[in-house]
Amino acid sequence: MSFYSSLPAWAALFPILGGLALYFITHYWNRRYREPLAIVIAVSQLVMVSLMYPAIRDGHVLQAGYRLFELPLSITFRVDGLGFFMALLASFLWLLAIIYSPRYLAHSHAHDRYYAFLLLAQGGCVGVMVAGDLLGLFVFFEFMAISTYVLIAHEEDAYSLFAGAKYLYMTVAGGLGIFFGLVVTYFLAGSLSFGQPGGLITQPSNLALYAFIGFLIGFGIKAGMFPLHVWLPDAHPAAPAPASALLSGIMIKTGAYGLIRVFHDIYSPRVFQEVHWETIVLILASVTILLGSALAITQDSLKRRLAYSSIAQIGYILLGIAMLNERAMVGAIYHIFTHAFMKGCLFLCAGAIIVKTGKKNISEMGGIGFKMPLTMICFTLASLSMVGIPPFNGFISKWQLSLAALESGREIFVALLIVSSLLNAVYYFPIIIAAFFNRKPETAEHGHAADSAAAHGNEPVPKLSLAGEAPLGMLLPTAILAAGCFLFALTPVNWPLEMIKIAAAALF
Amino acid sequence: MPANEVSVSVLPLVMVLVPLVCGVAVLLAGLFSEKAARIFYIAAAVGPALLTPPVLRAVLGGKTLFLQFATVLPPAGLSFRVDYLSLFMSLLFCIYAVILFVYTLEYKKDRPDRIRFWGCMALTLAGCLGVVLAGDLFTLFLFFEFMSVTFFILIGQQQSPAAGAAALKFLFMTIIAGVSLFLALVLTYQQTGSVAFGQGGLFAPGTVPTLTAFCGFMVAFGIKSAMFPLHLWMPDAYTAAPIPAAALSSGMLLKTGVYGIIRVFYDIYGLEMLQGLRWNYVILGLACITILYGSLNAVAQDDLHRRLAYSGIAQIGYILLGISLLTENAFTGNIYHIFAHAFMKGCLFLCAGAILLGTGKRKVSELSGVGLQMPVTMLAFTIASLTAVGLPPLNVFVTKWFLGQGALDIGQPLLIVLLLLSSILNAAYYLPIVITAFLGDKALAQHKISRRVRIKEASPALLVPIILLMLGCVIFTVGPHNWPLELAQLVAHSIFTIAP
Repeated sequence: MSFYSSLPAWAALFPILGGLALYFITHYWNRRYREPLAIVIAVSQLVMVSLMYPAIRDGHVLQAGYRLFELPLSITFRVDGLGFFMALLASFLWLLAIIYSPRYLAHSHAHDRYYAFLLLAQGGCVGVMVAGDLLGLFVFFEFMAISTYVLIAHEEDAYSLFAGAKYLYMTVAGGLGIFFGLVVTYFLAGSLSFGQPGGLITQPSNLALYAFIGFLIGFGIKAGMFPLHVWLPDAHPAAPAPASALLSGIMIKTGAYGLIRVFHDIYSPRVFQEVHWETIVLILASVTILLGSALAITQDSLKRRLAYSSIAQIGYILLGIAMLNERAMVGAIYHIFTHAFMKGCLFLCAGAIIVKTGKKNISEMGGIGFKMPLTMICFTLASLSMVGIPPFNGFISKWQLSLAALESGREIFVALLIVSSLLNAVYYFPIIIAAFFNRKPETAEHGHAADSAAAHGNEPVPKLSLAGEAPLGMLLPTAILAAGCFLFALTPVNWPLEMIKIAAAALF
Repeated sequence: MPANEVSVSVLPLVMVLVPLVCGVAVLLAGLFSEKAARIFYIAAAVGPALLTPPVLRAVLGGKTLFLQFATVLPPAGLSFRVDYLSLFMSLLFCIYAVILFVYTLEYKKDRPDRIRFWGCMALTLAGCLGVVLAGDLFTLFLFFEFMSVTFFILIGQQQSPAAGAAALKFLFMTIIAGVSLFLALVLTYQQTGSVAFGQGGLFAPGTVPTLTAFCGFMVAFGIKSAMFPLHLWMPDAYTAAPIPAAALSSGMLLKTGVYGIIRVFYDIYGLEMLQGLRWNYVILGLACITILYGSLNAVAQDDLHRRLAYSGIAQIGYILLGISLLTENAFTGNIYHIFAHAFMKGCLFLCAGAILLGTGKRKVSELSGVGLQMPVTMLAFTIASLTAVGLPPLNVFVTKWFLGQGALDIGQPLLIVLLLLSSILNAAYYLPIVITAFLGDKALAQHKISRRVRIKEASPALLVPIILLMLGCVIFTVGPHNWPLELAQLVAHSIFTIAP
């Protein structure tokens, strides 16, 4: 097992080392190797994660301890079904984002820094998922958070610096919340390891509640849970589109992942049966869903609308986690997977639109489906999944969540999910309708998107054409993500769902 | 734990004498040859550092080194004593001094008064080593005063009106400190008939002189360690003094004040008595105020050196907090922080000095784009800043971890919240510097200026000390063995098990 047990550490450390190497190689030696090298690193990392599959499938838990940090405890790695699934998802999305990036960044600056920090953030993110104890999780969590700052502030204009600073201070504060929980957990339990039967903190007490609140603040900030979500609507639009896709698709899920670990490995569902602290999360998650959806409707900036939508979606996930039964957990984890694909796809579409037409606002996007049909088809597929229409993935997670709500006698959450789906339709469908049906001449266009106007001349009515379509390097990752929104639901064996069922069963 | 075997050794005396003699030699040799002065100056730092391995071996081997000259300065006599705590402090001072002195040689090397500066630096080092190696309160007092006088010259080095004022302010406050310490010393000797360390408490509880002496000690060491409200000299002194002097002060001088408080707590009064009297809660309260006061003030400063000074006050608050909690975990945290803070703040100060030399800038608001001009310096600054915020796995994280455990040991989770508040304030005053240094200056970033013009990196002789200090913030926690932490745990263990 030594080969297998060293894999988790490499999966986390390889992108970090690779990112550092990439920076120095491209910055001081030869910049031609930059993109190929980044892709090679991302592919190797994906392979490393995939290699864990046979062991995970056979029900093993990969564990390895390293005395890296001479605290009273050391860092360990531990991969169970949940960790593996999350790490695989993260690695896959990262690879797609890296493939997408060169064309998106063609007119940007500081490419070396961008790819280096993208890989550093990947190492941190995967590290969170393969960490075997709370300390390891925390170390990688902070590492990811700080690396992400550089991605958010990438454009270095006033807006992205502001958004980045807001993100940075909130994320530092969140880290301190987790630190508080960490110290208290060690004080109460004398250990921080995951996977102990019965959890670490077995007795509810005031101190345990404070620690729980600390964890909730820390992971809640990262997840974008109301009222700690305020960094998110600024950070997502400010970041380059591939980074937004990762931020929304994977990185905010590390907050949800952390909460899963808190619920099941730090405390245990048995503790919550006594004291019902999970009610706090249930209430906050409900508010998050409604608030995110409602605010999304009012946004005209596409990426901002997507960001608020992410807040609403993370509410689903938190709801599923806090319901504390197995089916709800399946729904939550499946929604993590679903949302990663669909929101990743949507952000990549938004990026393609920005690159090809320069348009950021929804009100300017009338008829865009005729200029960029393939991109907008992907957008449509992802939106349909978002609303939760049956063959799409979004339906499956909502189905599981609704069933779980009914089983545990909380019918109100079913209503909540339905209302939210409706709101999803309200803010996604107008975009699609305007894109494909709004064929009236665009008078406002001349001032804004000079390049697109020049390319098409002053045509009064847009015609369907592929001329303005995004390049293949951008289209391919977008299309893969869009396909992921429904393919799994159509195949005879829904492989992610099976994996998730095993992972959730192991938690309870 | 059985009392350690006492072994007579001249090593501690030699460790103090070498920088003392070298310091005088620097001043004298400087009259004839600058080269000789340089050699003596480096010898002042390297000499004691070379003596540390045998001391380390002896003390770790379970011995307490001791040396007494009963005939010198009766009735107390002059004595030196090295236990775990003294070992930790002197080891830190020696290593830190070597790094700092190399930097100092290169820093503003064309100034006409550099010889005097070097000489006084060496003499201050001798004073600091004397304080931590002293075997009794009287010897400590002697070196304490000596160190203060030489440091006074360092503050006034620039000879500007501001430097003069700052130096005077320091002088007056340090005289108050000296007088208070003298009062406390006399009271201690009169009440107990002894001033020697290592007996686990001298005083009988509850008398008025006991309290008076305690106040005297706290004023004296509180001034030296810049504890609120006795910190007044520090921001001015750090702003006026040359950067190496400020770094010397934050790495060593402040720590001698802290060291004094530890000795008073554990050797003069004793753990048991303090736990009964609860006087430590006074220090605890002051420590909390110190942390918040220093951090909040630091946010408001535009002068980088002044910001670092206020941040130093806050960090001293951490250490005082660790001392006053009176638990082994917290004590480990405070000892570790003495080391962590020296490297972290030392690195920041040396970076600030390099920036001042390279670009002439010292205001935070002017530092835009400096990271593109001095990438290595600012990288070190960034890592030291992140250390100060306490991100894992950097040094201060370990400190906060142990302080947090200590706070929980006495049932005060609120104190952790205080530490966290301070951490976020740390982020608020360090990270903007880092951000503006690297991001937002597009003219520099987009290579509109060629790299040759753009890069204004400091010379290697300045960079090497900076990088060494930066590595000190990182490698111990990431490496397989955290020597400073192991030593700090030994120190804490020895103090908390010897006390009956």
